[in-house]
Amino acid sequence: MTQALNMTETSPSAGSDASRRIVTFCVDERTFGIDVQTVREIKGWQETTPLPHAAPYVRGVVNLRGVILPVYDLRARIGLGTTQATAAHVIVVVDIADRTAGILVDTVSDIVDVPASAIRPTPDVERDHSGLIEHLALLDNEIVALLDLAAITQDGIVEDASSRHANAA
Amino acid sequence: MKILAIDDTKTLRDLLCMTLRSAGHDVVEAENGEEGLARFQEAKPDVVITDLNMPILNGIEFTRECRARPGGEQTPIIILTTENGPDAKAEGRRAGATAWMVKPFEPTTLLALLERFKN
Amino acid sequence: MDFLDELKQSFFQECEELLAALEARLQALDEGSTDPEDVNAAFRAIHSVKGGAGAFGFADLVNFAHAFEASLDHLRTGRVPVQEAPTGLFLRCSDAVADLVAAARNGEPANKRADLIAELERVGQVLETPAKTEQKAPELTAIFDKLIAQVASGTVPGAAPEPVSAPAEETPWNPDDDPFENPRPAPAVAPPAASAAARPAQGTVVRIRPHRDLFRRGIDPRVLLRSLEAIGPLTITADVAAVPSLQELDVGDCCLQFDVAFEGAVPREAIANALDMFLDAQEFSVGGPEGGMAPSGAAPVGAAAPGGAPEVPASLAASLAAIAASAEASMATRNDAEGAAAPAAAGMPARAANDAGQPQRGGAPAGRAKQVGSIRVDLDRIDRLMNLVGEIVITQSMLAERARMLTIDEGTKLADGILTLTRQTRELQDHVMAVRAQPVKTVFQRMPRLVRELAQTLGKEARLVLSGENTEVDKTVIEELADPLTHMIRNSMDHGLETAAERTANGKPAEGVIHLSAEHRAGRIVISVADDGRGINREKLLAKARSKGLVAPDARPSPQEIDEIIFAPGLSTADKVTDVSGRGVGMDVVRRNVEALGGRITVDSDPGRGCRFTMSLPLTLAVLDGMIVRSAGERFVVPITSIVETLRLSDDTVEHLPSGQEVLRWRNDVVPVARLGAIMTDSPPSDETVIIIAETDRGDRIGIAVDDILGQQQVVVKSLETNYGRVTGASAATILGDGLVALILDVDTMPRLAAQQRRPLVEAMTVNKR
Repeated sequence: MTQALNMTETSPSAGSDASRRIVTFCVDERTFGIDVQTVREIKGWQETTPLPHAAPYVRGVVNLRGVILPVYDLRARIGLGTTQATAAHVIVVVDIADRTAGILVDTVSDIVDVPASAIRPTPDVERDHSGLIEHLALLDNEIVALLDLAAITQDGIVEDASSRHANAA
Repeated sequence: MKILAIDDTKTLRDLLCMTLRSAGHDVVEAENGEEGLARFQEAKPDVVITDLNMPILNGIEFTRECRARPGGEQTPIIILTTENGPDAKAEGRRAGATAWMVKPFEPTTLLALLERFKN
Repeated sequence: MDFLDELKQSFFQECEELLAALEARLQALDEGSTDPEDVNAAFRAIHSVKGGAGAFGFADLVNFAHAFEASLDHLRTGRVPVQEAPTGLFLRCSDAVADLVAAARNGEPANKRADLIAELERVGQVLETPAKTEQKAPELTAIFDKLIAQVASGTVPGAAPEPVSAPAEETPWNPDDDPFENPRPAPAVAPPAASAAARPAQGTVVRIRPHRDLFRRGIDPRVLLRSLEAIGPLTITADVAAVPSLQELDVGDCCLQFDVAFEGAVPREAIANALDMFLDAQEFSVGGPEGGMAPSGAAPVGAAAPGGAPEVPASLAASLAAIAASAEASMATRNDAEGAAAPAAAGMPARAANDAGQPQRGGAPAGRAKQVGSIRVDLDRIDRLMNLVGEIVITQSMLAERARMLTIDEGTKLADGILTLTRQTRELQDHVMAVRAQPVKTVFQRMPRLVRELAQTLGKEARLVLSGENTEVDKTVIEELADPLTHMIRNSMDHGLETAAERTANGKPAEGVIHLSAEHRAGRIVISVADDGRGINREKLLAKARSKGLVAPDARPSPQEIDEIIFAPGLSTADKVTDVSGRGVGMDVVRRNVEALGGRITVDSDPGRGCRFTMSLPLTLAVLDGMIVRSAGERFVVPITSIVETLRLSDDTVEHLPSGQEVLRWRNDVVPVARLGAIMTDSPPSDETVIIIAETDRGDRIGIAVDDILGQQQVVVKSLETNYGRVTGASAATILGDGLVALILDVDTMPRLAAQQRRPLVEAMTVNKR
């Protein structure tokens, strides 16, 4: 299952610069979002090759058309445990600075335009996700946590075996 | 332009003449090399288009004869043939042929070539 | 990037080559060469830089190059004897030119180097004597006057045919007097003074060398040229070299020869189609770049150098034309859905364009299919080709895997085919690799300047000797060589070589020598940096290492072990932090970088006499032969080059050291065992039964314990660092036949990981069992 997001056709006109176009997806019934510009494609789950000396949320690497793509488990990253991945799970392939990474999520829900006025700073109570959430977007029926992609993928590498065990403990 | 068209096969000659006339050229026909030489003397064509394999006097012989005659030294002679071997072409060149076109000819290519001979 | 930028980039690329040539020639002169060709080549190089710089308006560069050129010209004309050439100044000037080029490239303000210009200007003056000025070379204009007179009288020396544009009245094909001609672009006429070398050879060049009977065949040259004109915009140059003197001239003979230079690259077929019907194969030849089909009869697109363009290096001109041509070709493809464009052929201008543009003497049969010596290809294209070959390798291994699933009968039928495919793929790969191979010269050439500058900064006298510069290695390796080499040479200059005074006091020549060499050895490239300096001061080094806690106070390391400390992180042996090596980069970083490339670096020191760093690297970083193994359910690739032997493990062969380290007796040796599953996955240690005895680059043996050996195959090396980062234990990854990723083991890290593994063993098991 591979569905490329056709951004050119659906992107808002240049005039609506006051709003952000967000791809939303769910993990454990929570809704998260990232800027549509950062999304390269959305792939179905595929078996990863685990990496040693990596944090638990680094699921491993997959072959994305000849390129080695690391896959990060968002559920594990926000402290909800490792995803029991099935064919229904989805890898969102995103660009983060000059790197490409896959984010494992439960489902991709929607693409929504969020007016700038609906985007709020993250309240202190949500800070427990170690700065993973950049902003909150208040929609009519739900709150979308806008992710800081760089924060999700950093610190994935654990220097050596001893520090890995220190982390895990 | 006045063009002498030499071919022993009537259908092909007709086709060639039709093409040339439709482009506004003045066409003189001949059935073989010998007749071609006679027409050449009378008509003083601007360009000659000749078949290669013909009875009596073939295209090469015609060309050689033509080059040897006054007024024939520099007239463009196009050999239009199904032959495409380097040996045949070299023989044509030595006989004095100006250009070598391979049949079946593309009417536009032939006409474009003729345009280049216009002065 | 816009068009002009692309042109500029080509120029800068050209400059790099010219500067390298310049430096090499000056170096030769510095070493005592008196070969006039060294002078001439240096002069030509700087002259070409100046020409190109002028075209782009890099005034500072032009200025400096001009002064440099003028100064070199004194050598050329003999006003300054070659033996007295101020080669030191010239070498510094070549560095300055490199700086000016870099400044122009980065759009930064440049140091105009008025100081050096002043020195350059003094070069001629000091040695100039009245007697010598009288022997000044004849004025250029006088030469041209003479040439023109010769052309007019038809006595141009045949040995050096000078293509001259025929005057209008002698140019029967001038379309201006031809009312028939449609509004077709008039062929540009080459400027009269254009010399063979300077004529812009930017596009495809057609040399027409008709037999003398051309007119007698009723062929008017106009007809030929009109046919060519229909293909694209062009410039015609008549070559009168073969015209005999008036007495010998037969007006019926065609003695004229023509060079037709297309502004862009055009396909050979188009030219052949236009000329074949008129001319013998021997009567014309096509040289220079060939490009995609230009839209027939279309107005010229993306004109190349305008008439009277400044002189630009010929190969640059060729690149420019190719860029224009490929732009044209891509436009053609865009405009015409079924366009028969061949854009792949465009953008590959022939390096030999200049040579091909040289008129052929007389009516010598040129042969239409004249071989082009070499071509210049975008690295991007080669990379894409290499990637594609990599994909084929993967597909081929995938096929092989599928074939194994077939019945024996079907399988054997396929096996032969797959075997052939494997061999062909390997061959294809070798060839592509060969294309990517470059001599290490490209990196080595940057080092003399480094040594010169360091010598000045450090106040030492030093000479760099290069050998094996032509040793070839894959470009992936070349790119990675510069940094370690730079650091190694810095280290030798800073720590190795003594000051002149110190050297003399020790009975050594005042000038230190650093020998940089490269050679192929056992499928690897070995590069060494050797100096004749003081060698490693072991006492000092050990004391320092102890003070930093790198060596236990009671440890008694061997001399070799002490020398190795130089690679320890965070160590500096210099008494004070110097400008040279005080940049926070030491030999530890060099070792790390070299090891990251699958290489090793060693040091051999002879106190008082010198020190040698040797690094060995794989010839390519793109593919390797691997053994596919399985451990803890995961597959890994072990590079074949590091495998010594594989053996079955039986219980009694493994022993435990008091530290908990498992070891294996093997050929009178005790080899530590690394259980791969525990090292590379989160699995608890299991009873792996297969041992791969591998050798690290440092020569240490390690027994890698795995569950199973799955097979051997060539794998394409894929970076883990592009999108992720360094993975301890793995040097890279690859994609196996089933499309899944496997890690390529970094054998060199296995002994360390095995040692780490032994202590947290119990802890690891409890963590994983939670």
